[in-house]
Amino acid sequence: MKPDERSMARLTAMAQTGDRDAYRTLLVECRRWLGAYFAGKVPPQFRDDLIQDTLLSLHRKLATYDSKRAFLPWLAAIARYRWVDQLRSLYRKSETVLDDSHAAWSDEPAIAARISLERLLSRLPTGQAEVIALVKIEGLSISEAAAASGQSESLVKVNIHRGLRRLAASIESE
Amino acid sequence: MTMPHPNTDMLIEELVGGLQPVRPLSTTRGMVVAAASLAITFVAAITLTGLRWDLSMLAASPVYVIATGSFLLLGAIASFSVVMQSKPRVGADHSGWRWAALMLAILPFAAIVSSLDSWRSDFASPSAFDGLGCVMAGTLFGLLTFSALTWWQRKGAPTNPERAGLMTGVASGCFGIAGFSLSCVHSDIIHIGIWHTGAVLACALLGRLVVPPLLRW
Repeated sequence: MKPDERSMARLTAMAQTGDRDAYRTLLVECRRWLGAYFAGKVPPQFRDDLIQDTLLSLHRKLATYDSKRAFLPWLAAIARYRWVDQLRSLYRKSETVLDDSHAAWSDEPAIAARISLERLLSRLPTGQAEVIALVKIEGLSISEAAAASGQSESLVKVNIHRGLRRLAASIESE
Repeated sequence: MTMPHPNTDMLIEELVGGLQPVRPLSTTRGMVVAAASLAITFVAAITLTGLRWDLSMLAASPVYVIATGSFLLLGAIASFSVVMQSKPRVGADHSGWRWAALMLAILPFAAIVSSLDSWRSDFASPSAFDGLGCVMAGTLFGLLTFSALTWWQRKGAPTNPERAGLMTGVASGCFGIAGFSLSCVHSDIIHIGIWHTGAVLACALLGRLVVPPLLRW
C-alpha cells in the first residue's frame, strides 16, 4: 500500500526515535516521491544524484522535522534546497559546462538536459537568459558572448550574475 | 517514472544502518536560546558599563522607552523568524519581520525630520559624538545573540541562508543595542534614531555577509 502524507509523517516521527524499519519504509517512499518531484524539473542524468543528495540531507537533518506539521512540505523544502544547490554548482563551475563534461552522453539525455535548462532560462529577462546560455551552456568567453549578444563585457558579467541569482530565487519562492 | 537506482538502494541501507534517535528541534527551545542570549547581554551590559541613572531612578524618558521597546520587539520577531527558518517548509511565510522593521524605521525618520533645521548643531553635539561608540558597543553586545542564533541554525536546516543571515544580524543588533541602551546616557531621538538604529544596520550587514557560508548544509 502506498503511504499517504499522514503515514509518512508518522514514519518520520518513528524514525526520529530510532525505529529502523519505519525509517527504511520512509526512505523508499521518499525516493519514489522525489523521483516524481524532480521528473519535470531536472534532466534524467542528474536526477539520481539529486535524489541521493536529498535522502542524505533528510538523514542529516531528520531532527528538523516537526511531527505537528505536514511531512511533504518539509521534504519538498529539502528537495528544493538541494536542487537549487545543484543548479548553482552546475552553473558556477566552468568544468561543468554541458558540452564539455557530458560529451560522452547519448544525444537523448543531452537534449533533455538542454530542454530543462531552457525551460528554466525562460523565467529570466531575454538579456540575462541569452548571456547565461552563451557563456554557461555554449561555453563562449565573456568577450565572445559580448560580441554575439551586442552587450558590453561588463553588462554580460552583470547579467549572468543577476540572472543566476534570480533563477535561484524564483525556484526558492515556488 | 524514475527507475530505482542500485546505488540508491545501497545508500538507503547505509542510512538505515546509521540511524540514531534524534531530538526534534523545538521552536520553544530555540526561543529560550534567544531569550537567554538577551538576558546574558543585559547582565553583561550592566556589569561592564553600568546602569543609566534614570533607569535606576525608574524615570526613563518616553522616547527612550518607546525606542528600546521597539528594538526589543523587532529583536524578538527576528529571533522567532530565525528559529522558524531552521525548520524547512515549503510555503512558509517569513516576511512578517519586515513590518516590524518598517515600524522601527520611524526612529531614523523622526531623527532626520527633527534635525532638518538644526542639523549642524545637532551633529556637533556630544550626543552625536558618542554615537559611533553606541554603534560599536551595540554591535559588540549583539555578538552573543549572533553566536547563539548561528549555533542554533547550524543544528537546523535553513533553506535561504542569505535571509537567515540577515535575520540573525537584525536580531543580534536589536538585542545588542537594547542591552547597551541600559547604559547609554542619551535619550534624544536624534541619537537613538541615527546611532542606535545604526547598530542594528551594522549587525544586519555583518549577518548578511558572515552567516550564510556557516549555514550551508
